[in-house]
Amino acid sequence: MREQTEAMECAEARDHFPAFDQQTFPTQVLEHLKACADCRAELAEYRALEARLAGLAAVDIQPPAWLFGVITEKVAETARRRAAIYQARKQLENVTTPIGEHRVAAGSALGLAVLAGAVLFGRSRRHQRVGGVRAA
Amino acid sequence: MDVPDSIIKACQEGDQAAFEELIRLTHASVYSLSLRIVGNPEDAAEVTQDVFIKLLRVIRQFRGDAKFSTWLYRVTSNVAITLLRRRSRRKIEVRMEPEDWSLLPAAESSDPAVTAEQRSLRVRLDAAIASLPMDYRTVVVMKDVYGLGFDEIAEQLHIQEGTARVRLHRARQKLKNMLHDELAVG
Ligand SMILES: [Zn+2]
Repeated sequence: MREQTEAMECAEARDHFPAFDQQTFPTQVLEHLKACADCRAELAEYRALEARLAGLAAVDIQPPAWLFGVITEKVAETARRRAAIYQARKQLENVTTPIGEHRVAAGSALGLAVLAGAVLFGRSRRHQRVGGVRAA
Repeated sequence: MDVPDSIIKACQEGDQAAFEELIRLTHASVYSLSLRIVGNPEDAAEVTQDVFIKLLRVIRQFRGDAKFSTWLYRVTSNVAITLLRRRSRRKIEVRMEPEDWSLLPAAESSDPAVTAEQRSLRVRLDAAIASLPMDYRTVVVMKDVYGLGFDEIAEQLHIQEGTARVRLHRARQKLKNMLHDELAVG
């Protein structure tokens, strides 16, 4: 058994290195590492790779200059649309019986929501312009 | 990426100006992760826009039990993988050539602790990652670069955790072989 441990092939030991975590290596591999400088060098490369990969998240790639403006515009537009839908729903929920009035009230609630949407839309467009200039 | 808690809280309360500030602070990080997963700038820009539109809806779900950056990486990778899946169903994978990564500059506003040396190494590392097959690339980017867990990676990719581990193993082997010269130096 002892002889078998020492005779562990480099290739066999190296199969475990991509796991990075030495804690998970079988004892035989750890034994082999003690005895084999080549494998220690190989493991050191994996360690360097691990550190480098972990460091990469801190290095952002420059996004295209137009991206910030487009995102803020789309987000404002989506927020406006959601607000308008929310308003319309709320108005409809407030409408109660009887059926005849219900129809009329629902219709005007929808009209109100559209109007509110138009007002919000106009405001957010102006707001975006300002944002866009600042971003540019 | 560093986002003050006050900004996050204001965003959760529907403050539009705070949300714009959040976009300003984080869009480069979201774009970078997206690009590292999808492999081309056009799709990365699309993913970035979709992430912030999704955030409008889901930012209230952030409870502060994880770091905000990790949470945002999770949302981003999810959107990026959805796009990748859509693309692969239509059998199109648009990918930059690995050497084109040198044309993409690092963002100026990156962490000040990042050295010039790290920036130059970045290009080779990004190019090496980009040359990996898609299945390996997604796992190594999510796990080793952005620190997501095997459970969430497996869930997002619709694979078993064991499969994720095997892919990661292969990805690391390939990267080690590609970058052997510079890794051996130190
Ligand atoms: Zn050996």
